[in-house]
Amino acid sequence: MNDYVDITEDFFSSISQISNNRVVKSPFFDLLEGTRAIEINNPRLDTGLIPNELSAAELNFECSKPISESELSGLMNKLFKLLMSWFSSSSLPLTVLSCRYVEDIVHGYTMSLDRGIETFSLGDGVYNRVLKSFVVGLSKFIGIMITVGNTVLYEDEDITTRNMELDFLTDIMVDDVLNDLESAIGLVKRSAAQHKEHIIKQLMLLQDLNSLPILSNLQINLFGVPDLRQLQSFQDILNRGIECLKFIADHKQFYETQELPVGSVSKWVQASLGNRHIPGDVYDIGFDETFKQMTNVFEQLKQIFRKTNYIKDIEALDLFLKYDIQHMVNEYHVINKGIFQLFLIREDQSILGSVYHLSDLTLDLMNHVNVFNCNVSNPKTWNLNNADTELVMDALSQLLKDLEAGVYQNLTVYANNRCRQRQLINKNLLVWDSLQVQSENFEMEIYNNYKIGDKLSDTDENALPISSFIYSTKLELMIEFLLIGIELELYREFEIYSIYWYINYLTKVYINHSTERLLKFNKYKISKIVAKKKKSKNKQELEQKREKLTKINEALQHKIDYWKGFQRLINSVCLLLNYLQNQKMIKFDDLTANFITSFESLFRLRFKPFESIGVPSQLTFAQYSSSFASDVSQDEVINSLNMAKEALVEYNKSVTNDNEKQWISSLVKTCFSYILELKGGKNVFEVSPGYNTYFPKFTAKLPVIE
Amino acid sequence: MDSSGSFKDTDDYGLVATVGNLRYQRFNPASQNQFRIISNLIADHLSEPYSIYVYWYFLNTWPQYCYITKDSADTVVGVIISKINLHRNVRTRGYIGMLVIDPIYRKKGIAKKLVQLTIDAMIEADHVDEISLETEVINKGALRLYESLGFMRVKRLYKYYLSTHDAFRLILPVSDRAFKRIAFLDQLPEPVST
Amino acid sequence: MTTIAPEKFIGSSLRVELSDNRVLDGVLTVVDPFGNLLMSNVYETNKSNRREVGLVSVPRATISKLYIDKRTYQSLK
Repeated sequence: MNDYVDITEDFFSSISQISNNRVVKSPFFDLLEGTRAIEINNPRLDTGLIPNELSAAELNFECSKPISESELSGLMNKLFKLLMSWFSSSSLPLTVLSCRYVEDIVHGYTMSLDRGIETFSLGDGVYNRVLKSFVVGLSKFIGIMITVGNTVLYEDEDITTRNMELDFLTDIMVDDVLNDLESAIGLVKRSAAQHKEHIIKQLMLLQDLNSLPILSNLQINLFGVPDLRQLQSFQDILNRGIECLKFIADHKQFYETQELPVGSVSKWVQASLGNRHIPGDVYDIGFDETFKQMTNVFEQLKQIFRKTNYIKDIEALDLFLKYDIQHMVNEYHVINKGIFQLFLIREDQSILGSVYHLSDLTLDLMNHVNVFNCNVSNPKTWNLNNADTELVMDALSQLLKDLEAGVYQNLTVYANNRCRQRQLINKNLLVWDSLQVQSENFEMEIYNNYKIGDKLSDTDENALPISSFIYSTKLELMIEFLLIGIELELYREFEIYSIYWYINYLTKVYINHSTERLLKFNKYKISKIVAKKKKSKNKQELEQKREKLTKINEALQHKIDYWKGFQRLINSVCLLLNYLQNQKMIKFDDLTANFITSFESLFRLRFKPFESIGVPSQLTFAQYSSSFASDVSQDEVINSLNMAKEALVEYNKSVTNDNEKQWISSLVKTCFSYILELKGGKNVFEVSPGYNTYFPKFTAKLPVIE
Repeated sequence: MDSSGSFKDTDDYGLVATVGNLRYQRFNPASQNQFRIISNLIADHLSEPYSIYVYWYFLNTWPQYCYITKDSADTVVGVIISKINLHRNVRTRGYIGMLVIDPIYRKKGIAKKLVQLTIDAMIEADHVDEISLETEVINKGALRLYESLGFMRVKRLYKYYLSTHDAFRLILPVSDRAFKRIAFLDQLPEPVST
Repeated sequence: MTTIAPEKFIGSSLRVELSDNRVLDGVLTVVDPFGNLLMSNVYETNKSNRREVGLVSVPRATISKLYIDKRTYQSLK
């Protein structure tokens, strides 16, 4: 302490000069930063107090001390539980790193220069050696998931990756880990252990866990014949994992009664390593939850992987992403959300690792709506000189590149948590709206300057095919944006009608656009081909085009059929709520009477995301206010619901995707339940969860009509 | 900070309202006693752990947006702490940071009164475009309070509180700027720090 | 002895001895009128264990001694 001067008195006497009750700080320091500080001696903020509460066994714990067979199995069981607890909104220091063996391995690896897998050790005993392999395997898996998290998940929402500056075996190869676990299995087999099978199942399960991320490198033969060998070999890994999990779950009694070395799981790590975070208790979700969730991970991946192998065309891909991923995402484990996102779109922009890339997807999406066989997308039909061709080509390529970016943005939505999905869609609305403006300018310009373009019909104006495709995508985003808000319970009673009323408008615009701009345009193209075919020598090529356009329109019509049924249901909800208001069951205006802001202001705030969008034109509060009909009858509501129900039942007959089928069934049930509710509910207006996340239950008892 | 100690304060600085035997006062920026009482009251009743520098952040920067409620025995029974910031450089956003009422004084309209005082002051002094706050989706009491004033749920934030519960972001729109998307608003000048 | 203005200490590296014998080394960033410190880049030494704890609020009541290195002290006066 020679170089130090005691300034205790100097300092604290200088503090008394502070007047006005204000802090003294450097002008460059923002006090906002200070809100993140930990605090000495505050038991909720100071990890430095932890050593005081630790036992001698925790303080003096030795990782190299020989462990017993029972302790080996007990530790592996505990580590599985801590691993799954980490994924359950906890952090590494409160879960896996609380195990002294994990801390020892990972800390040792972080500090050492020689980083080969053979350098790890947790003591010489045979069970210590097996434990070492397990801990290395577990740490590697954690390391992989940290990377997945940092790449495609949201920190503190889906996963918490803060790692106390530790390196979770970045440079160790997964194959080395798998082999090391294999040697450990051999070691167990040759040992004198009493319960070899129980231990080996745990080791095998960890191998299988480490194999899961392989999925994000597998290459799917998208829209083609599935690679059955690959499908089988990945299914084998998953099935073996599921078998191990079943064995472990069936032997809960055994695993849960094995011993843990005293002091091996502890808050120690929070106080021993660098730590800018607040203290917390070790978190453990328990045996049942752990193995239930882990089984889900394997089962879900099995489903997802099998389904992706059998996606037969672009329509099926769209349905898969929507119904098997986006709508199901709440049920997917975070491990799968992360792995799936990486599986779906790769660094080289290939889709599901196939030869099919983002650029192909973008073109296909357009073609399968209305752009197939258009003048604008087909330079061979342009009839321009070279210089002009190049000019138009450049502009077209730029537009396509920007479109690809938009499609990419949409692809990032599906596997995110529902809250993020809504926020990302909100962002993408801007992207697609400006794409539409850009595309309209482009299509108008090349039509005016070079006469490149397509007519919608013999008498109609420019079809603007690319812009029409973009508009259609944008409308879907707008509708979905409002609908997710219902699921997230963002809307309160007073505004719920306005939301359905707005969705009703958008779905009508969408259906009209699909029928009048897309379907009609394709039909017109078909009629032109038929006319041309009569005179042409190249009948076969034209016939192929005709067939393709016919197929496209069949798929479009199918989609429109869904939207028509859906719109009828939306319209019924509007009628229902309108009717309830007429019956004085609810008075939407009254609910806002005591607000210090107006309903109109809230209406504008609610639809702010659409505020900058030119088409479709934004609905105003005045339109909302005059949207109520004074003469809605109960029969009218019931009829409308019945019609919606029938349309949806009819549509569902031609649905093949299981999850879509279920979705439609839940809409049908919704129609039924609304009808029942109308015939005898409670005497208050209530909104509660219903059969479908987009359609809550509205409870209200209506006066009997004599 | 010492969490025991009295909640009594006899300073009559900045009385803004009296309702029954309850007095509503502005926080006195020069009062160490009030600072101590406020931080203790909040630490006793809020679940998120705060260091003393959280209180300094709010009370040194925006002392004008802190109000307290006292009972007839000069005991501080309620407090609200808020701030103002420039949201993405385009909107002046008031933010209600913390609101705590002593449990035995709840359901007496104190919270609502404190929020209203804050909103009025923010509109008057800083011409805020909107006022926001976050609250847990399961905090029915807070939702009822703010929504009865007209705050609207604009966003659901996934696992927001200590990474377990979702939260709602609530917004009360004040000016027309609240209705325009960020990308379409012109930049506002940095506010002069008070 | 002339008193040094509190501003002068801001930005200096300080060593804080806590009443529970822990030692903190870090940069004094803010001090409040009660004498509570806010220090950044803090390292905590507890017996033989030294670790980084980052930004730390140090309540006045936990502080038993404050040290500054000799050279910095000379320049403050």
